[in-house]
Amino acid sequence: MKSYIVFIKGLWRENPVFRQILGMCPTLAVTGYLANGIAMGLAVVFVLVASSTVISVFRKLIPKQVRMPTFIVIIATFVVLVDYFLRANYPFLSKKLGPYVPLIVVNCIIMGRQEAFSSKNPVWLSFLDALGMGIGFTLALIILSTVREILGFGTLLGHPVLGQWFTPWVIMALPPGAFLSLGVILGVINTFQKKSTR
Amino acid sequence: MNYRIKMILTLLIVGAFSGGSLSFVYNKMLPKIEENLKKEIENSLLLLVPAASYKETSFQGKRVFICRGKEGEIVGYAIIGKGGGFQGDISLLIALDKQGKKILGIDILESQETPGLGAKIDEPSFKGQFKDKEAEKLEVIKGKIEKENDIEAITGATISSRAVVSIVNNYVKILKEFVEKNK
Repeated sequence: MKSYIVFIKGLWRENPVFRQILGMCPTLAVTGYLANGIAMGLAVVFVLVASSTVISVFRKLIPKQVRMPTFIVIIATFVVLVDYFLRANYPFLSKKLGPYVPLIVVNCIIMGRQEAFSSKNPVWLSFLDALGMGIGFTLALIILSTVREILGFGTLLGHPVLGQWFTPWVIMALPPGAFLSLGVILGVINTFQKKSTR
Repeated sequence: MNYRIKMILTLLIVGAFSGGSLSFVYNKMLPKIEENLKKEIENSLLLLVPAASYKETSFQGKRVFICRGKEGEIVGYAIIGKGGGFQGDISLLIALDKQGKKILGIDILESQETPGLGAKIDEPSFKGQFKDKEAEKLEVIKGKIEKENDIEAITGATISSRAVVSIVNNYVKILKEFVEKNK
């Protein structure tokens, strides 16, 4: 039962984007297109799961004083792996995500999970925690980028979904659009949350 | 003393392991990454100067391509130009005809311009304007173009438009020198 809760909490109750407001840089920067959002989400899932598992395996061997640099090196290794992989196999995506793939290194969701969870918990639970958080992050990016792509370009995954009558809202494709849509979504979620806890 | 040694050892081992595995993966991926880049340049070249073979050389430290037809006759030249854009560098391919008098076209290879605005430099409505222009100094104009060497700026992305035109101007000059030398 406990492992189930560890996994599920990242999806909604402790969703890294909507509930913890972490990892804002990629959230705001790459969500102009749904495809970018999905790719970024999956990259983070991989890095998070891999580094959480590795760190949890070695958690008793890493001295407290140097845990931060050790974590960063491990995370950075996996991030560079993803970067190479994308550049070699999906050059188009890699071009679109640009500098935001290397920037996963400093994504605070990943560092946060190492500090808060995998450096203190057994491997299996750390794996589930990372998977849940990663999928929660991906879901948030999917929601945000769906809204932004439809309103900003009138398309979804590159296919036109709104007819000719629709004039794309350029602002939604630009950085301010990311802030606007994230703010509205957070507002809606908070309203819901308050009602359900009452 | 003991914990210090342990700290150093931990970082040393982690660092060595990470560096080792990355260089291994990098060497595995490198041919594919380079191939992707080459393919992209080749696609652009085919689009701008349809030719049977492309020979790459270096001229003043820039990458220049000599494009030849089936019988080995020169059909055009191309150069890879780089310069600052609105966000980060723009790298583009510029092609001239065999006399070095006319621009055959340009294509954007890499750019990080704003999606929806500056990124339109990669759309035919903008980059198509360069086709068949005289290989002289081009100018960016807001609104309707009047003169032969005018390029219409993208609405809302004047800086990106200017950046592209200035890269084209710079590199057309270099490529023309190359064509002169090669005659």
